[in-house]
Amino acid sequence: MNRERAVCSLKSLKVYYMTFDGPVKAVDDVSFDIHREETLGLVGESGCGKSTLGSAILKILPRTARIYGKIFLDDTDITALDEREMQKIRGARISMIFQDPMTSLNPIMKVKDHFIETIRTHRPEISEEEALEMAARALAEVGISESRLNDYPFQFSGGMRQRMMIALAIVLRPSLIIADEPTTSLDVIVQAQILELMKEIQGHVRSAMILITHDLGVVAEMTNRIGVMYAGHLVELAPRDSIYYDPLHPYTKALLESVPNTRIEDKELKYIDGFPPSLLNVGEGCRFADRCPKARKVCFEKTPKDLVLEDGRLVKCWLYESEGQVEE
Amino acid sequence: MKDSALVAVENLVKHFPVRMNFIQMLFTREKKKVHAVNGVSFKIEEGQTLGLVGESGSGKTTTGRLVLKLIEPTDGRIKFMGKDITPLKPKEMRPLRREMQIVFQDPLASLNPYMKIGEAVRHPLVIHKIGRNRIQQREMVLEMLEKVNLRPPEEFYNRYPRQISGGQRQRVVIARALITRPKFVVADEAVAMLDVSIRSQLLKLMVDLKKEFNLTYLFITHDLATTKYICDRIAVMYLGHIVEEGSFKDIYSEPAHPYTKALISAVPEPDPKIMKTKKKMIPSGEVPNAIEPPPGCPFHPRCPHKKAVCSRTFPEVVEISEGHKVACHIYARR
Ligand SMILES: Nc1ncnc2c1ncn2[C@@H]1O[C@H](COP(=O)(O)OP(=O)(O)OP(=O)(O)O)[C@@H](O)[C@H]1O
Ligand SMILES: Nc1ncnc2c1ncn2[C@@H]1O[C@H](COP(=O)(O)OP(=O)(O)OP(=O)(O)O)[C@@H](O)[C@H]1O
Ligand code: SF4
Ligand SMILES: [Mg+2]
Ligand SMILES: [Mg+2]
Repeated sequence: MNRERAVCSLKSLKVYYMTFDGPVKAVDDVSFDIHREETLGLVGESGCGKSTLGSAILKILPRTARIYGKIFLDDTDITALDEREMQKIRGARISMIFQDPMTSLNPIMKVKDHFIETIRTHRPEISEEEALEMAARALAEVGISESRLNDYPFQFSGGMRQRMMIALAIVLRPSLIIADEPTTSLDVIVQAQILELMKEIQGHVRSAMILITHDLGVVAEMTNRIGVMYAGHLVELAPRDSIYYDPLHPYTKALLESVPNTRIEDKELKYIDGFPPSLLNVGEGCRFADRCPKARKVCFEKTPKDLVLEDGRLVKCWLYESEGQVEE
Repeated sequence: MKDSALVAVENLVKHFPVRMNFIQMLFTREKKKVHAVNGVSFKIEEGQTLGLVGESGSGKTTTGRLVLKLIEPTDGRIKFMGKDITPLKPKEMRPLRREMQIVFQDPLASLNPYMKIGEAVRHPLVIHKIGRNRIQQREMVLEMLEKVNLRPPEEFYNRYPRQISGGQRQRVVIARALITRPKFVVADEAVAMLDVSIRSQLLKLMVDLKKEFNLTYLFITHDLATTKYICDRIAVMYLGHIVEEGSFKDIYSEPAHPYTKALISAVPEPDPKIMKTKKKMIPSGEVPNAIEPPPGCPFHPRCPHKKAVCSRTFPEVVEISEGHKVACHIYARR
């Protein structure tokens, strides 16, 4: 597949939240690479660990979280970096777009000051004037007039605020953008405008992007590859069309069937019985086994390995055990 | 024509006073109003479901509350079971309340955290004095819990809201709404906060219960795709107006109003091939505020087909095919 060096690569990443009752295994043994100009969609139901994974790459997790495994950004293992070194990376080499921009913007700081702060923290050699020019250019890229540099974030509508957040995320041309549910709280028409913008922007910034969402419609439009998470595990990772038209993992299949589509003929509503397991103290076994129509004895007893099939797809399921090679 | 509709509203209007801060109050002389609902009319036949779709702030929730008379309309009429309920006082409404119920989006906010869920479901029976005694009411609750798939019901009866999942909580809210055996239920984004797989479970439950109890729903949602499974008809709202109404098929395969077309083209489909070929007609800009809505057709500032008349007069409603109605000057009768 892609032979170019990965922008970011996760090696057996685990993120556990330590609680009085035991560890919550929010991300458990996840490995993947992401390349330049690629958009990787990360989908799965609420609580499956998508945001935890995104936050781990930026190292913005709460104190109770423990990270095991490695996260390489280019050649640096960032799990080994301290907070001061991470600050140099955040906003410059990796940037983030959140669902609610207000949580990451300072309400009493003008738009221009957000830009000046971001730019000058990483590139102190840039003068304030130059920084303002960069800000104006970034805003133009997202369709906001530079006259709005003097406004406060609360003076923007939801859609405009998300545009501004995108401008701030790309102003230093990061190599990786992590977008966590960037359009979830927007109305469909505004969402369509923002998605269009994100595609366009990524086309010329040429960064890699991890797009986290629970909306299988959004990933169908935006991504090249899709990772499906279930209860802290990455259960399948494949090129977009393979996920939609040739899903392998029983959970991927069930998930796709339960999504409402707009094909008029097909009115039968399918759903997955039951609900995902608690991640507290979760033990061995496939985490989908309880709900899986194909589950066998081994599924309840041992966690399936990450199988890499010949075409490079990854699937974590006992059904395919004889077909692939186990990734070490 | 005889009016067989269970619910009928005519020209409903609701204006709210604008919430203002102190500074704003100092500088504004005239009293400004939010034009939340601006002349909405529809009928729902018994046993049918009308879907009300539209973007945030289009007036869906306000319409739902008006229909149930949880708030008083500024103007217009509401008929329920053939009777004009507009002038009824809260006290006169009370006997009707058991016939009309509402299910909200957030089950956690609509359940008392200190009340066992069995007791929460029993509460409406107490209020409406249904059932001979406590024991019989408990039996009725257990039966209802079973119907919404909270099994075993005896075990769920004694749990508290925080001890069950979000999807299960919404089942409790549905059980509570149906325990009085209402005829009419307003479901306001009832499945919006739930995950895909859980959302489909709940939707299926609502469809099954509709059949079993011959329910009539007003199903409010911003998610067009879910309407297919449960709605017989769909009304599309924009800035307090219904701009188009028809069957799912009318709305989905032959949308007429430019706003409906935009809305449908913006829905992301869980299918890459469709997404590649789908023609998008995304209007620029965002919905204007409801304090000073545009004159004429509310969509005209963003409409690619607007004519001079669009900014002057509100288009009359035209029936372009049987049961498919649209309010747009493009379709005006000459
Ligand atoms: N600080 C914390 N302490 C303990 N558990 C946590 C903490 N934060 C998250 N979790 C748990 O970790 C799991 C993963 O959470 P995460 O927010 O990453 O999920 P998500 O996939 O982003 O969900 P959503 O779609 O709802 O945003 C969940 O079970 C959650 O309850
Ligand atoms: N009590 C109130 N006082 C003042 N304005 C109100 C009040 N309730 C609603 N509004 C305003 O009326 C308009 C319609 O609101 P409504 O809640 O009915 O919309 P909606 O279609 O349900 O939106 P959403 O999808 O966000 O729930 C909005 O502009 C809203 O801000
Ligand atoms: S490992 Fe077993 S239980 Fe898990 S998805 Fe595969 S078949 Fe189903
Ligand atoms: Mg999340
Ligand atoms: Mg609402």
